[in-house]
Amino acid sequence: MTTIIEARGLTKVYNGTRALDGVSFTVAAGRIVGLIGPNGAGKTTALKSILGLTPFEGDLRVFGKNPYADRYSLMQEVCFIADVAVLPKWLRVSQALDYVAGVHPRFERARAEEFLRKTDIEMHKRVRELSKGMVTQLHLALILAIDARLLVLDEPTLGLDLLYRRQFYDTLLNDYFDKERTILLTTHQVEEIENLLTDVIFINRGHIALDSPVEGLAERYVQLNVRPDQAGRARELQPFYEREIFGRIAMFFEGRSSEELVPLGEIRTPSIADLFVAKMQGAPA
Amino acid sequence: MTAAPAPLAKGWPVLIRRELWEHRSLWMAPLVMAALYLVTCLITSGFGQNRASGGPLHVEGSPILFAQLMFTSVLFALMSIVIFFYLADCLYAERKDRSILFWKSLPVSDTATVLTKLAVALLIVPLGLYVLAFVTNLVAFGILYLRVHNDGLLGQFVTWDTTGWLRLNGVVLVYVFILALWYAPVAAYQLLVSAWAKSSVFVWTVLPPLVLIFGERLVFGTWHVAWILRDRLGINIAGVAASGRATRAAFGPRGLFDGIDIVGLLTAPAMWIGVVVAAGLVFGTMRIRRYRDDT
Repeated sequence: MTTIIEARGLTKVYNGTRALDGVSFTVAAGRIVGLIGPNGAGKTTALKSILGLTPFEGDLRVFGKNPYADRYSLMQEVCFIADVAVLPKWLRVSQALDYVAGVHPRFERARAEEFLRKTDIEMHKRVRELSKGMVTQLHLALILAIDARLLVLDEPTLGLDLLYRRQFYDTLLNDYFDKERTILLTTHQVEEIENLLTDVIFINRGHIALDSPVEGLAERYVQLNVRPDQAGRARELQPFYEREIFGRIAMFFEGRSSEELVPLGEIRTPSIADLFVAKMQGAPA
Repeated sequence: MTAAPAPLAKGWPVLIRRELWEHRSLWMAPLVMAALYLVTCLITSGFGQNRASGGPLHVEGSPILFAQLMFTSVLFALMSIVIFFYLADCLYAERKDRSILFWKSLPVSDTATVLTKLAVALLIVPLGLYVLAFVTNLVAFGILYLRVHNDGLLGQFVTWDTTGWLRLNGVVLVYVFILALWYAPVAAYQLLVSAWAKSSVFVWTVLPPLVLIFGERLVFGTWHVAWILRDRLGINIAGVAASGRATRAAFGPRGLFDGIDIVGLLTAPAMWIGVVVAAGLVFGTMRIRRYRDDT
């Protein structure tokens, strides 16, 4: 499998704070990787480093290039939506198409126009006249029409209503993603992208808390819902996190077999959102 | 695996158009002024009649050429104001509204971005306005001619002077290029401030020169910086010399470029010191846009 991103000992210090502290991970081609972490965990810093927008320490290769030194040539392979609100207010929809068509060798204008026809966006409108959801649709139309191999999305649906958010990810999955392409994204709304992701990386205080393919999670992590009278026995198996739900206690185990846990209560595979909370609030592994 | 970097030449037209989309005053203000001038030509011939009835006006050379020179000068004066605001804003606005993240998501280098803005300010807009002045002057002549050519008294002033006309337009064109070189450090300084200032671009544009001027005065009791800036901003060399020489070239009985000392201007040390300073400032601007991260 081709490696798209390779980080080794990636470190970034802002005013004495280590936003990233020796982080190592790899992203392979054809994956959809969620970079998940609380505010200030270092997600955006990691993405900025990958996009060549900020200098860093350590070794980081994107398509074998140093993104900071080769941002210009890298941007032919990489697309990103850094934030929902970064298209300039004065830009007209038609001008946005003209511009990207003029500077991007891999932009297929007809594709963007076809996508825009399915929306309520009119060509002569300025970005300032569009709703926030429409601006994101426009940005998505531009991105979908670029034949890039890596797409980086930083909170792409922040502030959008549920309808637009769902549509955004559906479009991404159906019209964009294929085995040649790789998507790296961050979001607060983990629940919404759970089914989308092939890999998750949890990041907290500049460190990686978990880095795993989604299909591996079920084998590694188990959630056990136990009645309080069974809790003592369950705790002997050392859950790394527990919390109370409706009179039951949900315990999260790593590396325990189902056979060990089944007699104690009801077992299930934790959702990524639950696992995230457990990992962030549980004792540091 | 990697596509060859897009040749810079391919993207240039749209990079320039993008500047004109964002900063519409660059072309709207001159167009409005040209339209006003033509309207004035259409409606004021009546006033001329009254004035002329007092006797023949004493005008040296061709009054038409004089009017053309005046219009061109006013147009370029307006341009200098519009470009001042353009340069102050062009690398600041994209940071303020964070659209820099969109521009940087596309394969356009910081070098191409900064050079485009410099070229727009020093060459694209001046050349565009040169063409605008050229066309407007011809149309204005046509209007005036049609209105007064049957009037014996006024008709004698509205005459065509091909040599003078060629000379005037030739001199102005040469000056567009000479002034591009002369003002390069000023434009580059503004770009640097625009790329650097966190806020209050205008304060940061004006403050450092003032501090230098008065700092020098306080410490050394001299005014060298003030004189250098006065000359550079064209109150002395560029502006006055340009209009004076263009006037003489237009009206004087000499050859096409006799009125201007092109060789003298192009060999003046100040010209090339300015170009070197400009190159340094442009380089600094590219580095700032590239390495700064305040989004």
